[in-house]
Amino acid sequence: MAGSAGDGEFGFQIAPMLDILFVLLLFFMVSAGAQKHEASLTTELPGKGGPSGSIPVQIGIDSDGQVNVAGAPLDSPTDSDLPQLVDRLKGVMASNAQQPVVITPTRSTKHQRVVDVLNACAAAQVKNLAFGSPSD
Amino acid sequence: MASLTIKRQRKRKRADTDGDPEFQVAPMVDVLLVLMLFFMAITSTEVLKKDKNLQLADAKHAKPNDQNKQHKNEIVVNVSWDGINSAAHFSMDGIDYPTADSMQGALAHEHAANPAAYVVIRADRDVEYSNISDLMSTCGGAGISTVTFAVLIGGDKNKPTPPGAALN
Repeated sequence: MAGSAGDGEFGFQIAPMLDILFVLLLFFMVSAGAQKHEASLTTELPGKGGPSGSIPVQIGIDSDGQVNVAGAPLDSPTDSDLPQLVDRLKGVMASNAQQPVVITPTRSTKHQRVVDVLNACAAAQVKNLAFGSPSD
Repeated sequence: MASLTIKRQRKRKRADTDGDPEFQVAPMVDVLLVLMLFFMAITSTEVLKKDKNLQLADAKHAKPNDQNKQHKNEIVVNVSWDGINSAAHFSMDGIDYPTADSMQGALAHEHAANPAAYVVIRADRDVEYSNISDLMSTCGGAGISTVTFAVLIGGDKNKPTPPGAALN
């Protein structure tokens, strides 16, 4: 090393470059592992499609998270999987795949609970989904 | 004599080619660079548009985002929740908006610039629905008819909720 420096020729030092490469690689590997995978639940807002012939299924969500279909409560307010709602919606979709579903949360319902219901609709493959005006 | 020289030359040649394999640094650097590019590519999401302090809602059956999809049609709206004051804060492209209604002008401008644009609502899981409802009404008023909710697939449920959210 001293010899090459003394000779006035600068050789390309590959060892420090490898060190830096390894550190960069480790950094990106670690940050890639900590990454969260985002997904999406899409819905069309009212106003684009015309009214459909069939009466929509009304899903209400209380401020405490209690889900009800046409006034009848389903599942517990803390159950995020909503199995009873999924079964009910699957039954409805089996008879009419285009059956519209309207979700009507209260104004103080938590977004997580709305997403739980949207998730249940996605599991039951609901195609026509809309949001009703929030009830108080 | 001549044959002896040829034999020696052959011997030397074989020593050059059949000798101990040396550690090749150049291919290793190539591989390292490729690996690093790969990890750089998968970590570089659109960080600027997204508020990383939000705790998104979990949904198992959501459609995973296509990594190769162009994000040019997305209008990302972040809705964070201030649990202490029970108030939602809206932001879009790094600009804060006090209410959902105040975003209408900006959303209408985005829609005019790109009619195929749709809104991605990145709302905190504790946001009250009235804020989301207002935001959807604003989107409708701005002419945007498609709304997408950003969620986490199999998100970390064990993560403690922030202190502000516990006060609700």
